[in-house]
Amino acid sequence: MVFWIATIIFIASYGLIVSEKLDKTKVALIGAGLMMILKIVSQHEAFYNEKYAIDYNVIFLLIGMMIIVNILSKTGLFQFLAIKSAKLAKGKPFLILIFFTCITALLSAILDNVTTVLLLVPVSLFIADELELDPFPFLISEVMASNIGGTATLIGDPPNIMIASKVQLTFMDFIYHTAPAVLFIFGFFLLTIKLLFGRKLHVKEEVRQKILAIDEFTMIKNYSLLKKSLGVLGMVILGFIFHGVLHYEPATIALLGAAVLLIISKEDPHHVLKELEWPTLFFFIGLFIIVGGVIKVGLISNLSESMISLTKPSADDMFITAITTLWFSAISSAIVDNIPFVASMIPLVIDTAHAVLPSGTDFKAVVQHSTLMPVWWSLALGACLGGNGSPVGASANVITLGLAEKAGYPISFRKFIIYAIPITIETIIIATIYIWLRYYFLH
Amino acid sequence: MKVRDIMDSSPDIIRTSDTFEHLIKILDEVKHHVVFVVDKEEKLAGIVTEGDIIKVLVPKYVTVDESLISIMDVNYFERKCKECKNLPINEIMSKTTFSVREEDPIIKAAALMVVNKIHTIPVVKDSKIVGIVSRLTLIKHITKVLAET
Repeated sequence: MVFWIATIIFIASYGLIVSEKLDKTKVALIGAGLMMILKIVSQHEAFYNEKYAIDYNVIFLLIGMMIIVNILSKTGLFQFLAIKSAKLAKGKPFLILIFFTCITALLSAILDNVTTVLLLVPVSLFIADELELDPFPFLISEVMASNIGGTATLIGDPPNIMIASKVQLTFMDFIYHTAPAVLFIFGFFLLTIKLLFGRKLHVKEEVRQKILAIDEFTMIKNYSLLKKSLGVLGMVILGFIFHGVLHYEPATIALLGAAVLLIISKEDPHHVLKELEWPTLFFFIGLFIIVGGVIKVGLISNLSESMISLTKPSADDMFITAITTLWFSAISSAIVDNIPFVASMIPLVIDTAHAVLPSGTDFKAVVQHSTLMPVWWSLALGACLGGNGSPVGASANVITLGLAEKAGYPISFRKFIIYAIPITIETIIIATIYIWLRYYFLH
Repeated sequence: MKVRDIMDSSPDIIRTSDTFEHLIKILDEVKHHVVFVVDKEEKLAGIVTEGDIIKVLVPKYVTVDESLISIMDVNYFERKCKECKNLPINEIMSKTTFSVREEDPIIKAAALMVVNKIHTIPVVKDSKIVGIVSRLTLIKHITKVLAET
């Protein structure tokens, strides 16, 4: 009976999130509330149990990075970089497009994707307007670059943060494993942009001169704050690089960095904290409790049995499981928000690992078993890259399309997917080749 | 007293198919700083204010990132004016949300202006505009009322 009640809450919550009939944060919180009030998971389990509780490492890492990015975004750095690169490109539209795409990918790898597009999209609209060009090539390239770039690092995209926290992976693990894949994928993505838009982007010399006349330094609003923010961000990234060696969780480093920046920047914490994405944070909290409930009643174990019978993983080879996970994650993440998907996939893969791999008392040894690792990288690549597949696949897509509409350049669902679906399929094919080559063929 | 007793029965009107250039040309003769827009069937379709005219020349992305205002091209305004020359009125106008009827009491027009912070209200009969009440019309009426006492 408890099993079915938990399953119904889980399916109803995910159904409502997908349908977008009700705000996803409200759905996650009511689902979590029901799980606790019906005693499927007790409050103690939801808050403190190692297996079923909220993953505070994810929550506090997000909070820490949100604070740092919030303060950094007030300096005008993003706009400065965009204008500077446009001038370096000598106002040539295609070169500007390539530079903007690279900046978006790079910033998305170290900061959150939503902030990156939120700050770069208006500058792109401005540049396209000044060059008297259709802004669409800039917008579609940037939003996709943001999701591709975010895949590269532990802190780039929430699915990576969630996987890293549960599987105890380090920042450098992602640099060694997902970042090379992203480099390949991004290279092909740039070639695709060239094929799609290379011939369309041409302007007259006098129009280009308008870009060269802009003083990019007027974009920097506060030099002192910029130095402090970049200093702290640099230290935090250094902390992430060494957190595995120093045995600190990434959340500890992000929180300390945020606290230091709040103090030295003299920003009012009330203002900064008010601007954090609290709905996203509470969405995570609610989801963790809902997923905790279905883990406890055994639904995830049942699903993992189905996964085992379908993909037949063994202790020596999980190739089919890895590739199935990659494509299934990509398709699911294009249709639904990748956060709830990954939240339920992580325990499912852990259950599969416990069922298939030699069981021991050491949790880390099981979840980081060399046979299982390609499955984790497939989940990360599929969930992050799949977000590009539709306008609702990732938060960055929703934000960009919203900004484009607000600015008077609406992009229809149809126009978005005409470009997005083939590019997403291309990136997933490259990811498949990468997984096969690196972990099976060359292994 | 009713709205019909004080309304201006010759409001300035433009058609949805007219252009930005035509609108600017007729602005000189406009009495109430607004022009009402009617469709092919002469039904009220919208309103164009001075604010709407300026708004169409300013890119909307500056509302998202105000810092971009400082680096805009010096000739941007002139370029936009020329680009908008043939822009149809239905892309400039705002929808009219409020209207009164001839038989409505004057206080209804006054109250709608205060509550919704608007300066002019169209007077409508069978969806067609038959007049206009502005704050100026109301002031003139106040003067008349006080003179009577």
